[in-house]
Amino acid sequence: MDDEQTERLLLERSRRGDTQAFGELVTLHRQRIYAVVYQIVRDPDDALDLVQDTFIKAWRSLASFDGRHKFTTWLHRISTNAAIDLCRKKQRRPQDEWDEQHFSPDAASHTTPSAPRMPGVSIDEDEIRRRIDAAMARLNPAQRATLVLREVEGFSYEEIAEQTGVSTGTVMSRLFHARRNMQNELKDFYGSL
Amino acid sequence: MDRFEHDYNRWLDGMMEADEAEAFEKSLPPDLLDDKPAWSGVSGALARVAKSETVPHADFLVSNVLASITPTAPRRSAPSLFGLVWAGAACLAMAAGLAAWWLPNVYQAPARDSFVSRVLKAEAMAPGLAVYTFQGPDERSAIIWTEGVPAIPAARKVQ
Repeated sequence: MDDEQTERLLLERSRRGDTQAFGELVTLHRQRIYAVVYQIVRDPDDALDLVQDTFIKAWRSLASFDGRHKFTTWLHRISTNAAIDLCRKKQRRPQDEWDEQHFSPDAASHTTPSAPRMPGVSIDEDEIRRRIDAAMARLNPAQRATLVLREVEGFSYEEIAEQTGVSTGTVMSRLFHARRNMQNELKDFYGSL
Repeated sequence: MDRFEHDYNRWLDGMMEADEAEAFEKSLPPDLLDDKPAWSGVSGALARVAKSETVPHADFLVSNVLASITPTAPRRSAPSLFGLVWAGAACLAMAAGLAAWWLPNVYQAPARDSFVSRVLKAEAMAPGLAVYTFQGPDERSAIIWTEGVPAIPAARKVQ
């Protein structure tokens, strides 16, 4: 029995009220959901709470899950929107965060990486993580969500638009600014990535 | 939708045909030309970092979710006075119904012969002297009943 069949069976049992089957679904999907949510909220405790709330909401709304999309896609929709909402409520936007409204391709050259380094010098995985984390932290939550859904989960522009409840044009704009900002932040890093 | 942003994303994601990509690259500012080869490294590193974030207290998460979704028995509230009255009335009605059914069906009075001896013979022998013969449940017996007679006359024999 493959993963999809297993998931379908677990979903059917869950719909009939089998909490143990739903527990297995939680075990199957918790890591993927957490990875995305953590990148948006940047806090392990908040991420854990959001993942927990996501599964509880999913359980209560199982009757409305029509199966047209993958269960993971549905979970991402719940968790991503909750994560963006939480960030907005907490007003975690850093003071030096780039404003996507004021970006132009020509302006890219005015932003400089925070820690210039010599090209060709190898760096370890911890340093890569620190730099990626720092660059992600400088994006706004909606940009982070869009970027992670595209680059980590591999969703299409249209799927991201559906999951985050915005138009494809908005997804394109968020993705463009997120990518440009990440590239500017990590420009001195290209040779090591 | 901003056309440049749309094309830039499609170009970076390798979704353009070769001639379309070539035309787009000609229109790009020089400092963006290196974005495409560079992005694959950033994208890979981002995916690697994101996927390496593991769920803290993963089992705790599952048990918390299960605790939240598992239905619990409704808490019992203290009985009201009205409820107590109705419960008492119901108990009484049940007891009455049970008694009405049980008494005639289960309890049967013993037969008269089982505790009353049958009088076989009653004989008045003299004034103040009578002899009654009974058949008891187990054996035959005789009682001599005297009233005002100090002794039974010698001529009389009780048979």
